[in-house]
Amino acid sequence: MEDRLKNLKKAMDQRMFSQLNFTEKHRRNILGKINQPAESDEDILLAVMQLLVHEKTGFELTKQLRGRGIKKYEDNEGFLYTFLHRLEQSGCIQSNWTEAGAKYYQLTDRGRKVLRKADKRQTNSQVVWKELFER
Amino acid sequence: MNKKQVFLSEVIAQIKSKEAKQYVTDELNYHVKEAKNVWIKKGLKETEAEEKAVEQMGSPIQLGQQLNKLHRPKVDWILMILLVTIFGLGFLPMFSIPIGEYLLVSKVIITLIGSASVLGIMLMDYRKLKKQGWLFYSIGVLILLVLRLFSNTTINGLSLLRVGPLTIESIMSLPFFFLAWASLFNLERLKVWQFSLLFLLPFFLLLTVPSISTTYIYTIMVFSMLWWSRFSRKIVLSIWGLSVSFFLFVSLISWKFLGVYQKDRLLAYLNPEEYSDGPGFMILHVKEFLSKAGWFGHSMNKEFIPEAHTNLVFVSFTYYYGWLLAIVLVVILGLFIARMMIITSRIKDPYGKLLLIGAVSLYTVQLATNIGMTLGVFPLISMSLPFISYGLMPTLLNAILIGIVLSVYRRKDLTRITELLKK
Repeated sequence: MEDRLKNLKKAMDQRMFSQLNFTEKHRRNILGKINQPAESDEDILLAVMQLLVHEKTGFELTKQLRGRGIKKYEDNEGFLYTFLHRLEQSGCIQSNWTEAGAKYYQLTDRGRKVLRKADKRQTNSQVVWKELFER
Repeated sequence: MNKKQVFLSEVIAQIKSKEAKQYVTDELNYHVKEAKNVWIKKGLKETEAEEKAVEQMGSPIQLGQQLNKLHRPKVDWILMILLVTIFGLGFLPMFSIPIGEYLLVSKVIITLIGSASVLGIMLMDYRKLKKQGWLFYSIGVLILLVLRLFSNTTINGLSLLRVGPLTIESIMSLPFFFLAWASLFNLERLKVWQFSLLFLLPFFLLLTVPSISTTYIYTIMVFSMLWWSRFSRKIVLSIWGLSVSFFLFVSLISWKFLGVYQKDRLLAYLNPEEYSDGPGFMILHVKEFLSKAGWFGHSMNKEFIPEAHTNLVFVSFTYYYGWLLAIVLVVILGLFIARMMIITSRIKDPYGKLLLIGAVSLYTVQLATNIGMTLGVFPLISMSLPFISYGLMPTLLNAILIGIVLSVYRRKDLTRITELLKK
């Protein structure tokens, strides 16, 4: 087994990675990810819910999340939408399209209830996460 | 193709559902457009701004994969399991009635047609039906007109039109009126007088065909859906109030003009013992079978019960298999209502909601009336027990209803609401 793996690294260097250029951009990306503070998904959930008390498009939300220092969706903005769609399916937020093609998100009554509970108890947001996504 | 289009097509290439593709494209497109504008304001050239905006979105393939997972078409398995169970139970009456074995083959075919329609309608996008309201309305009226003018057969007082192997009956118009009213009630510009005219035309056509039971189902359906229409609650309540008082008024007036046999039928329902040699006979007959049934039934003797496979299927079922199984049957049929109501509460699209309300009311009316008339709390009319009574048209009607419910459920997270719902 070990013999067969012996030349793996060399073979990978020669074949797989020969077309790959490690550019400055890649370096920056990796450094950025390493230096990123570890925001938990649960904290982001609470931030998003607090921001959606008033209706907003996904685009406005990215700006305001950045303003709160949340970097998870920096250069990853599309993934905010998977998160929003998941929240919408859980019944916590609802959406509304305008004629101009913008989709606005807003907290539903159910979402408000969950948020209020989280605020009052000052409990960790993991409880909220579980309640919404792991039923 | 510019960068944005490349990005979007890479995302949606990962998404399987055709409807989700459009939904996702529109939203991401808007985001990239906004982000691009910000970069242009910061002084970038258009192509550079677009490149930047697209770069900020992250990996299109990963994004597409995650969205695909979220927007996988949904199947309501609870309703599916109920449907399979009830299609199975629908075969039981075939073994409890004398002529059952002759009907078995056609029952199999009817069940297959029913299942195929449920699946076909579930896969079809119900939103395509929204604009066809007038078409469905016209088809419904046309069916009734044809029946009214050309009916050539009468069975139990119901007019039918037989053309070769095809039988046209008034119940066929119900799914069309159901779809038509879901669209019409969704129109904002529908006026009360327009509603009244549109309601009354099929109503009188049905009355004169004549088909009292279809008229009754039609009325209940329209008046239930009315509550979820664009009319304000006040208007709906006044329409209900007016209609009920008008109905009572007409009944009182017409009592004087009813023929003796018609009066007898109504009085027999209230007091069957007095009319036991006439119209009360059937009611007493049914009562006798039900009281003899017992918990476990008489699975050995096939007694002759009139209409044992259609309208009075519940009587023959209970007599043969006993009350225990009869109660199980009613519970399963009732679970359909419960499940459809739960789904209704989760639907945001107003048109989808109207369809579901219509489906629930059409289904519930049949179930409640059939069980009600069997138990003697409702006059005996021609009404089938959903999925259990024999017959292509009733089975098809209920298959269409369940298919529509599944179709709405399948797309519940993909519908666009362009205005806030009426609170």
